[in-house]
Amino acid sequence: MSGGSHDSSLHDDLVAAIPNMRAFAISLCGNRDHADDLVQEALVKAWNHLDSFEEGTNLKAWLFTILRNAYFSELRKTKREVADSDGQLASRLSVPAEQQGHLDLLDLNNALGKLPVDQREALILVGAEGFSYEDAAAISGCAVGTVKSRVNRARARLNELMTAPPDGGPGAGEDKAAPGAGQPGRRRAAGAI
Amino acid sequence: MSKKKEAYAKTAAESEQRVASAGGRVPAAARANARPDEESREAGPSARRAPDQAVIPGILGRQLRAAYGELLNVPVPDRFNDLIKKLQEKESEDAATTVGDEEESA
Repeated sequence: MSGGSHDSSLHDDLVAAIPNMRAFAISLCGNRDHADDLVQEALVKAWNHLDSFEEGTNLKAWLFTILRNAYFSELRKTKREVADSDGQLASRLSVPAEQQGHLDLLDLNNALGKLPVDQREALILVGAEGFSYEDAAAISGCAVGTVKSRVNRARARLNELMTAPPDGGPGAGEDKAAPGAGQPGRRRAAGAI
Repeated sequence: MSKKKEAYAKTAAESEQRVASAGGRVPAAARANARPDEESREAGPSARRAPDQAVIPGILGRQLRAAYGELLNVPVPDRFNDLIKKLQEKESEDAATTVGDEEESA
């Protein structure tokens, strides 16, 4: 490789982070094509500004910051409510046939899509990517306490959504007893969250 | 490892029973507070993960990580390989013309 003026291992790390960036972007915007556009934009920015990356700090966190900023500034610009609803995320995940046994995952994806985007972001960063609250706060440009409360709200809302019957009204997840009681749409596992 | 798995399965089963017998869902936070020991046991099988991942304990956390894992395992489309190649080529050209002074200044 070479020719490049940067440490090529940094480039390798950047390339290695692409799957994570895509997963995060899909989680945010709920659409693969849109996600890939965001990742591409973030990659180009990152590549061109590697000088401003402080070596020794968390590259993935830096990349995620660029990526989510690209997404949120686009959101602000277009004022588009991109928040996924009614399972668009699930349908776009296009689960391969051999994975269709994972009905709980589809439920989860449906539910994730119904979270406000800031809560979804916090939940993915901390709960799925495994960032510390501090890193997640730095990525999202907010206070650590804000991340914590977003995660808590996201978790509570997911529990609600995933235990509600499919036709679910408000509060449908409350006061329900044993999992699956006469409600085909309910997953046993979801009931136990 | 299998012992751990067993313990985990047991924990999950207990958790389900408790939820059922409680006659409803107990808020996750409340459960975590009431049973700190459970939280640490649930974190057991995933101890190789960052500690903060335990913030989403139990089945929801596992489902979340599994769903995200599926996204992570989706093959990266060719457009990204092409993009990286282009970026590398561009940088090589830039480096050739600017004689890599970026590195020196850094």
